[in-house]
Amino acid sequence: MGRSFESVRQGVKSIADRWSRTTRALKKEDQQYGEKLVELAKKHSSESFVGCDDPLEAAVFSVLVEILKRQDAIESAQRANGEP
Amino acid sequence: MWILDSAYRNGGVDLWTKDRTVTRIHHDYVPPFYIHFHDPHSHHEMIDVLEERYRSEECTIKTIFGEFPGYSVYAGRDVAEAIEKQANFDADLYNVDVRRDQRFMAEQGIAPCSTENDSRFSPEFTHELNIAEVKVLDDPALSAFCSDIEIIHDETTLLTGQTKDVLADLFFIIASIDPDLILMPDADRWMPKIRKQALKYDLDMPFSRNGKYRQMDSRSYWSYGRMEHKESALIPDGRILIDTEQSFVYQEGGLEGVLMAARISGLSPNLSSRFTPGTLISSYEVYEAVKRGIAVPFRKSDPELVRHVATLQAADRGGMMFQPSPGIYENVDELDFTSMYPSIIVQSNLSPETIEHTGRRGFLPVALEPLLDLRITTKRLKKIDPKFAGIDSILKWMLVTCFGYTGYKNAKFGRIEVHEGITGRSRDILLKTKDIAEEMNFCVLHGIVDCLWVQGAPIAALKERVEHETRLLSEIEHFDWIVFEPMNDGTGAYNRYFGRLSDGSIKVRGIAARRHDTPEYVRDMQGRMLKVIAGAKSIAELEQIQEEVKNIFRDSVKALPAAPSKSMAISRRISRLTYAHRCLEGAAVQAYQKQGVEVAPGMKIRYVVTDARRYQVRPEWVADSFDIPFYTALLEKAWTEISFAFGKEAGPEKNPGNFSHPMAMSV
Repeated sequence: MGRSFESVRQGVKSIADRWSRTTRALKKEDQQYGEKLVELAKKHSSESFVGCDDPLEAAVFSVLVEILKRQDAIESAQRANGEP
Repeated sequence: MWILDSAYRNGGVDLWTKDRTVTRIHHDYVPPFYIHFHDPHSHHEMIDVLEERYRSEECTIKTIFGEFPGYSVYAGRDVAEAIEKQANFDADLYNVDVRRDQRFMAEQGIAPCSTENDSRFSPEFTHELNIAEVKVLDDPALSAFCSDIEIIHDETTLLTGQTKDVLADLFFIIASIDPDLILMPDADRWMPKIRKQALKYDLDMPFSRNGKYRQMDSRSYWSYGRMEHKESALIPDGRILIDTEQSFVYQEGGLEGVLMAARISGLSPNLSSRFTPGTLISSYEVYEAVKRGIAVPFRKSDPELVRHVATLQAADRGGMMFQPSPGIYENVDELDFTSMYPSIIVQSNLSPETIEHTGRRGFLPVALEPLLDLRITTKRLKKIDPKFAGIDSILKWMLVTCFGYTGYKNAKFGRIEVHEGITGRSRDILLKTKDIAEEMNFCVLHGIVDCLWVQGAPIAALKERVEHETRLLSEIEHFDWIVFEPMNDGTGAYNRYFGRLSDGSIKVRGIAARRHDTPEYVRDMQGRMLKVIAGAKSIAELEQIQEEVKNIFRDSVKALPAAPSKSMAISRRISRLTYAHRCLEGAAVQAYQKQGVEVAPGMKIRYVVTDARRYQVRPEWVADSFDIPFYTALLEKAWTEISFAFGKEAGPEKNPGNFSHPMAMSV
């Protein structure tokens, strides 16, 4: 109270809004990836405030966690199908 | 000797005590304030003058930070402020703005609404108050006169007619039944009007037992991010007058809550019913300080340390929150810590003076401990006996606000570092709880500050281990199913959910039925939906009643055009009188003013939207039509909130020919 500054979560939201606007400038076939990034950036915005002070750091952290999760899921599926 | 009211009058404290009859006992009491000069030599002339003009003595001032040499001066606040200015603020003043009746009672070890032998921290207490209810049936916003008054005592009396006759009868009845306590809706709005009329008709107003009244001015102020308005009040001496409509403490805790707040804070129930929990907890701290002989600082002189912005940002993060995935979940347990923040203060010894001197026991934890113990007791008792629910609610509010108060810049016993220490510790606790839960193979769905939602078993084992490792008490609530609502962008909302508890009741947070501004018609529709879904014990059972709930929405939309306009009223607490942009709230303020009603920031207003696109609204009492598409959109929104209980595919059903009204989003 008495003083306030933008929280990391609010900061991530501003970044997501900016990325969302940027996405509109992408080629049509690339836009879906921009939109996906916006979604992934916000996925862990609440939790990342525990360690991150910089909203950009938090947004990138959130995206990377989700990409690793996806990669892991793909690799598990490949292993299950007997692929190398 | 049970103290029912206190006031500072004629150089002393009037204590109004009840022992079958009510008596006023006057105690002469002129207490000093204390002053500590940082450099007494440079102010020796002023010290001489003080000794000459007022009674003034050298003394040792005991503060939470230690003892300091100083002077006690037997004079009022005006003198204190003059000295402060003259000393160029090179002096610390104490006990300048402590209420003198409260200070007297704290020094004597007595408290309102109790006898000498009572413990203030006992959940059980008795009173033999003679209670009357006075209801003025006219609308206080519109009428300056009372033409209909109902008095409930041993029997109900209805007074009606000309203001003069009605008031004369009212005054006669009050004087003859001589109640100790009057419960009166909107008392603080009516009393100044009644006094005006009494003067006009030369009637003797008998609310006060000695003809004296204390005046509290009306004011608008910010509290927890919203503008509040407090009516001016006329408080009678020797009799308790509670404004049952405006009193937060009465609304939350009933009469028991008001009396408990008075016992705890050392303030007359006339004040405890009119103050916010924040003022009550700070009064409690003042009472506890005076009781211990600790001086209460007039202005805080322990400013925040200078820190780099990055350090500041790292320290000031607030409470921990997880992000839920929106949707419906079965068999979920909510683990809720009991009074987490005050428990942290006590457990971690957090107090302004312990930031730099961690070794000694701090004032704040020592003062809060008995209050916290009392709350833990009342929380247990209210489950056995509902009469403790009101007391428990007030204690809960006081303890909740005691944390925020530590961060308030003018708090007598607050300091921002304490505030940050509390939230920092709370984040560790919630993270630790999550770790324990996951280690025990629970799935953590969501968490906010002091509670965690998990799926898994056995929950009793989790609770036991968490309590053991955190040394905090907790409670478990089991949900048969729970819905976490999404925000507009599809991510999970932290504070909007509803679910069915194992006892068959529905717990609701943040959706239309729970929000204060929701029109009755919309609230009623969602209420009926919640009643139906309360019957479903599982997701499978919910699917079976989906159509029944959907029909409630369809029927409500169909019946909307014929519904009474009054049931469309939107309740809002206005934050300002002029608005930079056109908006419904601004239009409502103007509509009120056009009707000749005076409005002030923080006041509650009720309006019906007649044409949202043109920003046209009417005050509730003159509304005879409403904007059907706008209210249809509100119904749609309320139904959408519920529809998440049926899975995403259920979705909202649009009413043919209608559309989601863009302005409904902002309501």
